[in-house]
This record gives sequence, C-alpha cells and structure tokens, in this order.
Amino acid sequence: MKVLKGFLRFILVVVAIVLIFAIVIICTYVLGSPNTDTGTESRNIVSGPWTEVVGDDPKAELYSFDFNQSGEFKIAKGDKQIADGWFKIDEKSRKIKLLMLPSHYTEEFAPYVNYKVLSEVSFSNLKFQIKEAEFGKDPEIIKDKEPTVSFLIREAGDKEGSGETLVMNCKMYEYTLDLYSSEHDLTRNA
Amino acid sequence: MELILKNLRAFDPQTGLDGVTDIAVDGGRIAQIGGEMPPADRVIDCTGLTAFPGLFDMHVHWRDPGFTEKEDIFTGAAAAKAGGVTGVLLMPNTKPPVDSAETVKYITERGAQTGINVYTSACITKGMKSEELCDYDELKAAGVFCITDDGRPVENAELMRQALELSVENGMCVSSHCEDLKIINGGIINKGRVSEALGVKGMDRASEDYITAREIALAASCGAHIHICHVSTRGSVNIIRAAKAYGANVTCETAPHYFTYTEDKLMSRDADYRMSPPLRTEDDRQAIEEALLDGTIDAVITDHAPHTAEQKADFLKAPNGVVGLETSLAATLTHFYHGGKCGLDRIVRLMAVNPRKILGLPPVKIAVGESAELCIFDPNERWTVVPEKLHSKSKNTVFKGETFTGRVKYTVCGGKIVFEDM
Ligand SMILES: [Zn+2]
Ligand SMILES: [Zn+2]
Repeated sequence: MKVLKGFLRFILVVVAIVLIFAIVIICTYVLGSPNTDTGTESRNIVSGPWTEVVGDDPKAELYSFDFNQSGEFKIAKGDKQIADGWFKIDEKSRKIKLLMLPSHYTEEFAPYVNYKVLSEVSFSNLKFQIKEAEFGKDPEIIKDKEPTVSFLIREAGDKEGSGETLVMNCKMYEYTLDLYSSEHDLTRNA
Repeated sequence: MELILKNLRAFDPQTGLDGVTDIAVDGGRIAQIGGEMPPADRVIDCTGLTAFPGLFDMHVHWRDPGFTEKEDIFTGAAAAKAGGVTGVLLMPNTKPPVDSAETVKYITERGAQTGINVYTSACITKGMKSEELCDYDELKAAGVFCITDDGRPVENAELMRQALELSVENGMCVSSHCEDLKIINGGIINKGRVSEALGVKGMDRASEDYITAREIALAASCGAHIHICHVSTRGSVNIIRAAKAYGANVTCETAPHYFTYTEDKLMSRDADYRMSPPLRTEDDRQAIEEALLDGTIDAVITDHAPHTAEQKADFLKAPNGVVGLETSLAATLTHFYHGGKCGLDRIVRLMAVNPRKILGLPPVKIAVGESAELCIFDPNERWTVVPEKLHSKSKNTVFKGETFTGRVKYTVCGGKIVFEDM
C-alpha cells in the first residue's frame, strides 16, 4: 500500500513537471510569435535580403540574412538554409531575437541557439533612407545606397564572449519596400 | 439676372416652400422667387421639374490622393453633380491617409476647383492604425470638422473614448465605421443562408451591432456626440432607436443599397454587390426602411466607394465598396416616394437638411438672399442605370440594369449650372 502511494506520488510529480515544461514551451511560442499589427516600422528597417561581404575568396560560403515584413527570417550559408523562424526587434538595444522550432535549424546553427529555441543577433552600422515620396504616391523605404550592417551571433550560454561569436558584415544590394502593400490597403473595406 | 428657372416646383420644408414658381439667380444667390421676372442671360423652362435644396452626401470616398486609378476629386465631383449633390464630406482612407494638415490642404484646394462644396474628414488615429490619436488642433486649424477611421473601427476602445472626450471640447463630429474585425475574421458577405450556399466566409451581424453599442456607450460616458456610419442591421437600428429614446446624442446614416437589396444579390457571385457592411437579410432591409421612416436613421448617404473593374473582377478577392452618387436620389425616390412610403419632405430632410445639421454646417435653403444651391429633377422620368454612362471613373454600381423613376436634370451650385442632363 505504502509502495503504491509512493509510486502514485512519484507519477504525479512527473506529470506536474511535464505539464510545467509544456506550458513554458507553449508560452514561449505564443508570446514569441510576431505581432502583425504593430512593430511594422522597426521590421521595415531590417527587412530585405542582406548578404555577407568578405575578402576576395570567391569560393567562400557567405552568410545571408533575410528578414521580412511579417516577422519571419531566414539565415543561409552559401546556398544552404541553416535557420528560419520568427523574429522580434528591440531597436533600443539593437538586438534581434530569433525564435525557432528545433527542426528549423541545422547542426551548424545549433551552437548559437539557447534553450533549443532562442537565439539573438546584435546589429550595428544599420543605415537606410526613406525616399521622399511624391505626394500621394507610394512612400518607400529605399536601401539603394548599399547600406551595410554588422550582425553578431554569440554562442549559446556564453556570457562573457569567451566562446565563438560569428561576425558578419553584410550589405543590402538595391532593394525597395512598399509600405502600402495590399495588406495595408485602406480602401479594402470602404 | 444671370439665370431664371421658370415653372419650377420649388420644395423646401425648411422655409415651408412648396409650389410652382419662377426662381431668379444672380451673383451666386437666389435673387427672386415668383412675381414679375426681369430679363436674364439664360432662361430655362423647368415645367414638370422639382427643385430641392442641393443634396449633401456626408459619406463619400474619392480616392484622391493615392488611388486615382479608382477615382479622383474631379471625376468624383462630376458624379456628385450628376446626382444633384452640391456638398460632400470625403472619407480619409486615401494614400496618404488624411491625418495631416498637408493632406487636408491638398484635398480642399482641389475641391475648391470643382464648383461644388467639397469637405474632407480626417482620421481619428494616425494612419488609421488605431495606435495614436491625430493632432486634432492641427487638423481643426486646417478646416476639419469631422473625424473618422472609416473603412475600419478604432480597435482600441480607450483611444476611441479619448477622441470622443476631446470632441466635446474641439466640437468635431466623430463618426464610426462599426465593424469588429475579429468577428468579421476575413468574411466577405453577410453570414447566413447565402454565405453557406456559396461556401464563403460570412460577416456576422454581431460585428456591426457590437461596435454600434460600444460607440454609443463610449460617447455617452463623456457626453459626446457619435455618428454611426452606414447602418445595415436590425440589431443596430434597435440599439440606436433605444439609445435615442433614452436621450443619447447619436445620429446615423444608411445607403440606398441597404433598403433596396438583400444578400440574395450575392448568389450571382458578382463582386459589384460586395460592400462593407454587406447586403443583409430581408428582415434587416425592412428594419432599415422602418428606421428611415420613423426618424431613427437621420441621413441617406452613398458610401460612394469606387474600385476598378480589374479590382472587382475576382468575387473572393475583390475589395468592398460600390459607387452611388449618381443613383442615390433616383433610388430613394423610387423606393420611398413612388413606393408610396413617404412624401418628398422626408427625402429632402434625409438627403439635404439633416447631413448639414449633423455636421454643424450652415443650412442650404431655397429662399431669397440664400446661396443658389439646387437639385432640380424630374420626379417622373424613368431611366435605366447603364454603368458605362456613369461619370465616376469606376463603374461598380449595385444598381446596374435597375430602372428608376426620378432623374436629376440640373444641378445648380454657387449660382452656376454645374450639371445639365443632356
Ligand atoms: Zn465608407
Ligand atoms: Zn465605412
């Protein structure tokens, strides 16, 4: 009887722990998913394809980053995609928080992922310009001056920078962005 | 005299005028009504025609700036004139949206060249994003007297409450497109029998009723006036009627398609019958009719919302909205006056008197010394709506092929004939 009671208690504790884990994971995803209604402006700043620029080695496998307006990102090395998921921007601390499902990044990217799902990119040198739109025409953010940005991704669990940090200096080649794409069309309902 | 209109039935309940007479116009004003007429540059025989004070449409989208492939201020004005409309209030969902003095200036400067009275409303929130209130002092200084985020509701109720609270001080009219976007959830036509038959997502009527009730409650909480746009459901009518009975400061409007048609029109899978809010059920249609007759609904508007034929081509993907400026009086006369439901008196009030009153604009009257603004129509002429013949740049009318009784023959504004039916 006592053994059975003890066993039941053990099972209950296990179930409770599993539940807590499940809740934490669900919350991470729910709270981490990008809000499509707000934050579009800061997403516009980074959105577009960024390609790494290094040295003269033509065979080097370059990193590239692609952030889009609805809060999704992709990271590739050479032709191979190594991570994708959602992102959130913290403009103040100049950080981009990445949220991924474990199946959405490769071994290669795994060292940079915390708690299996989170990663963080710092950025600097990010410059862009907003083209003065002709009155009544589409205002655009134009990144046609080949703006450069440095992305830094630190190895997970490493606080003081003793581990490896990927530093990628990227450029965005000519790219324009329509701030009034169909999802922002105010005449859809009137 | 510049102009004499002979044998015209002049009808204006504001002055008690109703009788066949002659009207002389000079220097932009009505110089004389009846009696011995002096010589004039132009004399028009108006036998069989009736004159109302120029109509005022307080809910119109002219798409300028930004969407001029659909309409611009001049083609929009041409459509208004052909409908006997001498004053309009434009909605601010342009590109950029009307949330700055600069955009107001652009519209009013162009509007001043049209020959009719063009006013624009401005947004309640910046960019119509429901995130931040506009600078109402700046907008008021630019001449704005009405604010709305028409096309969508202000999703954040507290922001809406703040706008209403400020309106008590700044005197602006706040009007609301009542549709809860979460309940709409991608629906494209009324939710019910027809949406089920077509297998398309429906817009539940609760989406409209819920925000209507919310706006009335918010306005009442701070003693503000609220104007409810394009009422289409029995639920909203009941809420507004009850609120008025309790002394709430609420006014509202509807459009001819809501008292003429029902969702059955959608069985054709034709996007020209899609607008927001959508055509509803026969019960709703009857409720709108009753509310227009008992004074619950204050104004008939068009919600003139032009979209190009290409944009309207795909039933599922097309944007919502229909044009209406050129058919509004004809549809209303046909349904209510010729349908024996009411006299001309109520129609003048719904289409000319009340809209100006709601917005705090000076009344337009048929009286000596008043600005000459007239809608002159043949109440008995039958005609069929041919979209290609509309003056609007876009032809997306729900009334295509419909035969109406009553047709605008002349529109006079500022003493000039700005439209003549050839
Ligand atoms: Zn509208
Ligand atoms: Zn609306």
